[in-house]
Amino acid sequence: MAFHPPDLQVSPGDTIVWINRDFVPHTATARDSAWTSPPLARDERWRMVAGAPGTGTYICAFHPVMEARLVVEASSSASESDR
Amino acid sequence: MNGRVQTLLFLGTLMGAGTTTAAAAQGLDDPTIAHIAVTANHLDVVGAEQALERAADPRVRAFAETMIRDHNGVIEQAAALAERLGVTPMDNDTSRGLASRAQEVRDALGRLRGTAFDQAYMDNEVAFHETVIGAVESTLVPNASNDELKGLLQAVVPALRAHLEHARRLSAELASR
Repeated sequence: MAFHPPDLQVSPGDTIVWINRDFVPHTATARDSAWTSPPLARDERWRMVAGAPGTGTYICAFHPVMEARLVVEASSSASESDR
Repeated sequence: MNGRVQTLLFLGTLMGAGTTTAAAAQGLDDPTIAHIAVTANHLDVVGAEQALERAADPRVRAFAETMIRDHNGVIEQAAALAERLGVTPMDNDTSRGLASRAQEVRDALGRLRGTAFDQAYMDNEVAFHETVIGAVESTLVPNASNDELKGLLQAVVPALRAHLEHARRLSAELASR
């Protein structure tokens, strides 16, 4: 069980959408508790608008072995995904 | 209380039906596999309910809540699939053996309190998940005839591995207190 991608880079103001494609419920929860989704059942989704620049890790509150990184970085040009 | 002894007995019960020929002789058909899968999940839920009554450490309680949430979810999926396929889970000696071993474990854990309970519960969860992963991969999946049943069993393994990793970490953290 994992977050895909394990490393995500976005710009301030971008909307991030988490979708649970697994059998079991998960959350996305900042390690420093700054933000959290509600429990998401299969196929449920939750969105959050990225705030100020910074880097942080987040986990699933139910399965703390699941960990990912979120980088919010202001870019000087129009925001582009590099994936 | 040696959790490992209990799970080795479980392993022995299932590993005897490792080949398709042996499986046919031992009756390891889809209804039996479906029953074993649900029973194994249910037994972990029951163990977790005991942990919610007795565990001292909040991390152990959180782990137990995840076991209840996840394993009940798998039971729902397995039951829905069995119904759709017209497979009626069949009671069998393996399921009964699992249940009686699990009762012995719960009886032993029921004599423990506080940090002793927490450590013993987590150690048993490590052993239990190791054994179930092994049984699913080496016995239940290879012997399942129906592809969807096979697929469901395979799809549960990542969750079992995450549980195992979580249990190993927590067991080590408790032991190093």
